Amino acid sequence: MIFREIKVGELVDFVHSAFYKNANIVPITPQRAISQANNPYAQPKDVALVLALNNKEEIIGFIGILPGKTTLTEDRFFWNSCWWIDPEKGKIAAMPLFYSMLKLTKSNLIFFDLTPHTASIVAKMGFITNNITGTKIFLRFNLNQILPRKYAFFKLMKPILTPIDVGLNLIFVKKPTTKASAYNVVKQFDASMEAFLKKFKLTMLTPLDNTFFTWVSNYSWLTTQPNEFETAIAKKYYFSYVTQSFVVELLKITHQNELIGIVVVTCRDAEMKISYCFFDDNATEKVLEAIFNYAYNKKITTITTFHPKLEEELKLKKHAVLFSKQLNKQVGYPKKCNTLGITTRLFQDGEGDAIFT
Amino acid sequence: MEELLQQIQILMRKVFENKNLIITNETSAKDIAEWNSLNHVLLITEIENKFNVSFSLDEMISFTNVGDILACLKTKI
Repeated sequence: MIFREIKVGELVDFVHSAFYKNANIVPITPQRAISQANNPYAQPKDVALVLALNNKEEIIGFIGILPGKTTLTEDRFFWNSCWWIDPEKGKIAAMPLFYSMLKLTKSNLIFFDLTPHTASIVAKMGFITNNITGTKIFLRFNLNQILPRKYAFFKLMKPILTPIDVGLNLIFVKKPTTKASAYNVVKQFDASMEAFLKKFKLTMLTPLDNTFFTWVSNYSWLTTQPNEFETAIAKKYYFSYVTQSFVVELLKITHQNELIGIVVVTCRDAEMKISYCFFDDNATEKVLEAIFNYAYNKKITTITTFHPKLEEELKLKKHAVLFSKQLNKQVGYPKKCNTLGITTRLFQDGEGDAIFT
Repeated sequence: MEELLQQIQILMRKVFENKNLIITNETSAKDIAEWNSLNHVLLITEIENKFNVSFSLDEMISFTNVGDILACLKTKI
């Protein structure tokens, strides 16, 4: 077994290399490579990928590192972006890959959305792990998407499911009646938004600014119109890659012309995630109204949020929600983050690499 | 070397959660059921912290028994 490190500055060449094109599985897609090459928080010499190869030079495991920035300290922090092991050939590579990641990041590493098994390993390695809760609400029927994803049989039924969705939505979906709060989709943070965000420096984990937003909104990790090469890559890549539509948007929410909230959302195939959301406590209801208006206008079917205040407000059931479902995510971080104030920060649904997919 | 072995033994007892563990230079994963890949990394990390040293990935995966670890550790302290 040998290990090969791919640095940020080498990623784009890597996805054009013969090794990549001939690989049995691929550890990164061209979109992710380009995105990481444009990461404003990365340096070209940062290692982005560690590959474990067997004697035939086949990839039997890999681990990904995404350089990032936090509000905790000026010290560099990194997010674990993937950890894949070939279930048959790669078991011996799992822990050495993890060890290499600890070394490369000097354990300045944050984990978001760990599986239970990985969370137990991370905890055993001395990291603090916490469960965070979120809510997914269903606003419209979308059986033609959900059922075929779960049961292959329904793929044939799609032409029938679509009119059923239309009928159910006509009956059950209500147009939001309140328009007191307005949202504007903006391309960047203006001076008023930057000033507004300063109030949240003790709850914000990832610093939101134009540098960050320009990066995440321009360099998604998904492709919506895969070419022949990308279609072939998708078969050799085990993480999220091809989708029908995807957008990252920044919402400026006002009430009576006063800025009351800032929201960053991702919309993927009509499913919306509230990646980041900042607002004053007394504006929760109004901000949620604006979010619902946005979702209605975009024909969004589900909204996911991990913001505790939005969750509380949703539990009051003032809004037209068909169903809701509680979600859990495991996060992990080094013990020293406690003294840096991580316990006051909110882990939201866009942390780490989540905003890119 | 004997003192170093004793110190490694203390760390191995902690990592493998076996307070009666006795080790020699020849002790390997074959002798300790709990010496799996996760605990191997955990042990190496404990040794690094205790002695304020750092092992490379190649060194870490080359250790096949306690003697290998001690020999490498000796070159670093």
